[in-house]
Amino acid sequence: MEQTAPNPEELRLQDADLAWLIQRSGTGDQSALMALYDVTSKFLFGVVSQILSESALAEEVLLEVYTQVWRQAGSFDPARRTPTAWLIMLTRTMAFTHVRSGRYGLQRKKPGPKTGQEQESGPVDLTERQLAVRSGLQSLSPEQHDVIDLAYHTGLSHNEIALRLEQPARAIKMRMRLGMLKLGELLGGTGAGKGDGATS
Amino acid sequence: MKHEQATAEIQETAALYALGSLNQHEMREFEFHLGEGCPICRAEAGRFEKVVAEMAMGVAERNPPSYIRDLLAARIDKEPRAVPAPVQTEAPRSEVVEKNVPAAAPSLILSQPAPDRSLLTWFISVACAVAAILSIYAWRRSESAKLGFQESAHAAQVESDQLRAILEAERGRAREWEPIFAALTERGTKIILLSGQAAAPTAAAAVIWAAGKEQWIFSGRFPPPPPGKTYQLWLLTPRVKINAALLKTDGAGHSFAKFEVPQDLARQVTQAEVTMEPEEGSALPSWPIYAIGKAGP
Repeated sequence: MEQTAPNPEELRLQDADLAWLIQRSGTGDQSALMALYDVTSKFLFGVVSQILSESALAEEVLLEVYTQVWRQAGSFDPARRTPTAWLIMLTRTMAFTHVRSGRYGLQRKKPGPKTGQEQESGPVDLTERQLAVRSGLQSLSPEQHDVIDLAYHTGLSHNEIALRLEQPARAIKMRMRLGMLKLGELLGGTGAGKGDGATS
Repeated sequence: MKHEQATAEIQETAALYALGSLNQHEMREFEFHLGEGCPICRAEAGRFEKVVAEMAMGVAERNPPSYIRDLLAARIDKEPRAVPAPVQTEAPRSEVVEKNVPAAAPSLILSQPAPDRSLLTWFISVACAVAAILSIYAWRRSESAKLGFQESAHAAQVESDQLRAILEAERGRAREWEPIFAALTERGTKIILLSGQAAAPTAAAAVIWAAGKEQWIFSGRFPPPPPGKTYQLWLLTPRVKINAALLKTDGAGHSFAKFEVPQDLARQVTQAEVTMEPEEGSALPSWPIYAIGKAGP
């Protein structure tokens, strides 16, 4: 008997569910892709909007992201990447590709001193994970923080960052590596890749 | 080539890859290497991708417009089957090479008696021929792939342009709905529903009067008018016919307009009519009436 996609309301926020939906999408199950959209689109639209300031373009990229998910779901390998990481990488790659293509004459969104929900006005409830990310970023040296923040928010290449900060490219790459290693250690205990999905 | 341990250089490349900070050439090179199945680099890339994913978890969620979901459903309906990416379906190149070359091959070759000169010449000729054939084959595959990419890129561009047009149309509709919704939530709003007449039986429209805002809104659908003609809206009071608005229609016959009517006359409107007039409009309505509706009590 063929399985059908679960009702999004019943989905738990687990990578296993997302992986299952992606794999079902890979077999041509449209209802699985739509269920995946229902549980991840708010989050991924937030990721896209963090990179692209123009709302219309962000919508277009979001649509392209899920079209690519549909096309590439068959090649998704859960042993290599968590579904959350796969979706985020795909989303960020597509958003930065649009920025780099310059077809729309857009400017990259300028990185702010804060990330994520910190950009919202007024008080917000940060989850344990968001607090851990904020704390992790604050624990980096200012030099590491600056290069990672620039890279994360703008998708600038290491050479471009080196030019912008007027620093040697070698130093920029080293700061990125050391900063990312440190972040990885700090966030490792928060459940990085341990099962929480990018679901709403 | 598969790496045996994670060096600083590998970590650097993997970290930059996860952050999206490799330049395009470096990124393609690294992705090709990952496609070869290097476990060290895959592990490093996966590790840093998790860090980037964690950073993204702090993002504020946003509700995408509902029509994106509809567009996605329509789009995948045209592509009923997902196609796995070729990189993942092919065996990594290095593994193929390793499987096809037995470990003992060099010693076996060394233990063979030395070939005579004619055999050596024949062997070199055959090897050259095989190399030439392989080169031609590789070149043709590369050309074919290039052509395929160009066609895909063109198709994607066309699809993207179509999508943009649809999105723009949807955005236009959304902009139209905003004042309508706002008017409908106002107290004292009146609606006149117009139904198509013999000249346009499929026509349908509504005139909304938000009394509090002194704003009139028209939304309707009519058969596209012939060149040089346009639809015109009239509001009727017991004493006068008010020339309310010229109605522009889009390719599908949809029409939307906001207009104003003097407040003293607005309260006396009992009926609305739509007629077809010359492009510049008429002072008085001509015949026939394309749609008509009466105001409620």
